[in-house]
Amino acid sequence: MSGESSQNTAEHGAAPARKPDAAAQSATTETAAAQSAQALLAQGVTAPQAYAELIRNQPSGKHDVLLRLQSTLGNAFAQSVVALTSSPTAAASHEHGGDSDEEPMEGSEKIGSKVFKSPRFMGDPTLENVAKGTATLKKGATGLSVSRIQSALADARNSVTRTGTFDDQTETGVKAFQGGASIAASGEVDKATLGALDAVFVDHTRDAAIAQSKNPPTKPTEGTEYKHGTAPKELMTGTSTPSAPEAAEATDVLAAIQTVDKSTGKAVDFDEHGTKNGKGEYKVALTKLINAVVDSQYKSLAKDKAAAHGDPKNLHQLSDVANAGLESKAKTDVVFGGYATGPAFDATTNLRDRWATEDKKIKDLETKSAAGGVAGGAADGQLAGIAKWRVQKIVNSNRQVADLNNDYGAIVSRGPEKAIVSAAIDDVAGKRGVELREIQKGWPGAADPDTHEVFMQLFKSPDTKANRAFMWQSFQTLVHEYIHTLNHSRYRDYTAKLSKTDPARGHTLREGATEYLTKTVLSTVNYSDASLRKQVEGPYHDPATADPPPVYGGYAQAVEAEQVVGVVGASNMFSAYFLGDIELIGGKP
Amino acid sequence: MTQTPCATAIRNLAAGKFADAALPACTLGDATAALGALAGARDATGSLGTEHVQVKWRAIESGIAGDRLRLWHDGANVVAVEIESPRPAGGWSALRATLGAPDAKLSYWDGVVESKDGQWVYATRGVAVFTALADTELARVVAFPPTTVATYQARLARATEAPREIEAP
Repeated sequence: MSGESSQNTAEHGAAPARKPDAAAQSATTETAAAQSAQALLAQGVTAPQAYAELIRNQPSGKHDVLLRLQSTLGNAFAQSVVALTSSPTAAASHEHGGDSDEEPMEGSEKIGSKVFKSPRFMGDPTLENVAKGTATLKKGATGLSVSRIQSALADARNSVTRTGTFDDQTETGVKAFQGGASIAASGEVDKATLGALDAVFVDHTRDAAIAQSKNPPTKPTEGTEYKHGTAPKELMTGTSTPSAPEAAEATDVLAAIQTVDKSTGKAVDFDEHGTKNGKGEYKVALTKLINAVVDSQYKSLAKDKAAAHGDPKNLHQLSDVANAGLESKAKTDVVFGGYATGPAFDATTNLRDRWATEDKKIKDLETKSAAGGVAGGAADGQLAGIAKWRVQKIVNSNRQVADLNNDYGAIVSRGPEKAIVSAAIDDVAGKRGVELREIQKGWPGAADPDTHEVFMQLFKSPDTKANRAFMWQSFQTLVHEYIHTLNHSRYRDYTAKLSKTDPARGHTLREGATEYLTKTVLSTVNYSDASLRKQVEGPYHDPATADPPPVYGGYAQAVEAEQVVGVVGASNMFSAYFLGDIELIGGKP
Repeated sequence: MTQTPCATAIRNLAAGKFADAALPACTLGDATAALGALAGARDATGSLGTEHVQVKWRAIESGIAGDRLRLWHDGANVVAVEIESPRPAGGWSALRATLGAPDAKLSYWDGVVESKDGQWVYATRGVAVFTALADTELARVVAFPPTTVATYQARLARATEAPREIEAP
């Protein structure tokens, strides 16, 4: 944040009080729920604990509460609850972030995460102070905070160019925005103004509107990306090349990992023997925790699944999932179809049964292992590799492991910790191979990076409502996967190269950005649309029953991807992802 | 029956004759004429090589010496033909003896486990074989127009990344 200048002044005016409108019973409930949640969070209660406390007295059901909290406290809160309470490993393991295989998580608190609803402004200490009311940004200020404000103003339909300097056009833009938000037009960014700007981007509908506004005269050919630099110029409206500091910041914010003690500026100390936290040896605690997660994953993902899979009556039809996927493509094309389109997923081509595929492969290996010889020995190695992959995933992406690492100051990529973690992984993988292989079969899904084939679990529930929820989850998952198929090769090339030297940032670009775009598409979906419900819910559809759709969790790295958007603007991200203009997000070929 | 060099090459591949598998210049029309089932198969999108070159593919699963034949193309021309779990005429040992030493051995991801040096590239001969279980088995054969190892790696190599695991709902 070098070069930052801001004015620490008294808060400029108070935000206009929000008046409850006449038809706002739900809003009142929403506010009450949000206030309760905020109070609990302020007391240090974790998001899932706050959520559990809230649903205890909610007759409308936990889903409604979560939806209200999502709309009031923002996606980050809801996502954190979903990630921590709805994962296959449930509360016992707190699986976080899905496919974070490349990114070891180390607990940290993002700057501004408690004051902003949209991730756009997180990571910026100056804006955090503005949001808290202890600073304002006004004419003459310079730096990345100003760039973020300018990008947000432009994305919020104000005629502002990103310059990094709070100049006349910025002041005019701020006044225009304030006027539209019923805030006194001071031309300064104060708590109320930043709060209103933050609110614009909470639900991603504005991002979707930006994408839909491009309106190129020609549409892309389905399944064929634009050769870099040949896309219609209309798609480039709203983009601007970031300055060197903006480009550096857009790359910097891609990583969430906190490896430096904020109070000392030095690398955190590793408390290997638990002398500071009083919790005993790190290796013992880590191994115990990994084993607990394996227990939980086995119970929720694998136990009794082999027998269930043997009876086709227990499985959804791939064709029903594919039908839901048709809507995934349709909804995505409405938003991003000007940039790129592709074929929908198809039950006979690129949608597959995950359990069946992995079960066949693992059973083949087990047969060869039993036969012995050179091939048998190699099969043993392959089976051990599968077990190790699953344990590595726990170490890399489980929230409780991240918290444990935080407790011990453990940076798992650092020498001493790396050796201990490696030994723990080998220990658990070696002892629990059979269960880990069953978890591999039962993992919710995977995609082949080359063929884009999607492998999904197809287990039915005896409960029709749960089956409808499965279809909606499939719809959401296939939006994410369909967007992956539209990713420009130049962006993928950049991501792959970055991943080799900086896995965390590469992962954010690959999955986090895709997740941000997924949320952008899902923000446009009208879940009460009768024809959509019929198409997505398929054989479980009941016209008289409209369950709320499942809240979308997704990859936690969407937060970091959205921080990039905060610096360079939504149009830059769209052009980078779909047209290969990676320079617009600070990338280098 | 069409008897162009392309049609002959693709039929040989489908029949498990991999020793001279190099693909001549092939249009999509040539390929579908050689194997009629390909004409009715749906296209999906995908990518190949470390450069993630965007391509399309379609596949058939019957009438071939393997579990699946996947035709990779760019909409007009065939860029590669791949057989999964191939059953080479004469067996893997005979094929291995015929092919001899590869131009290069690259790693590939066999599911979630990386197979070091398992992708044997005979770039100038237009064929790559993917070995498994300490090279005792053949997992995949890919035929393509003869090229260099560098070009193969950049634009044709398979499974250079691990699978992406889907977030749990």
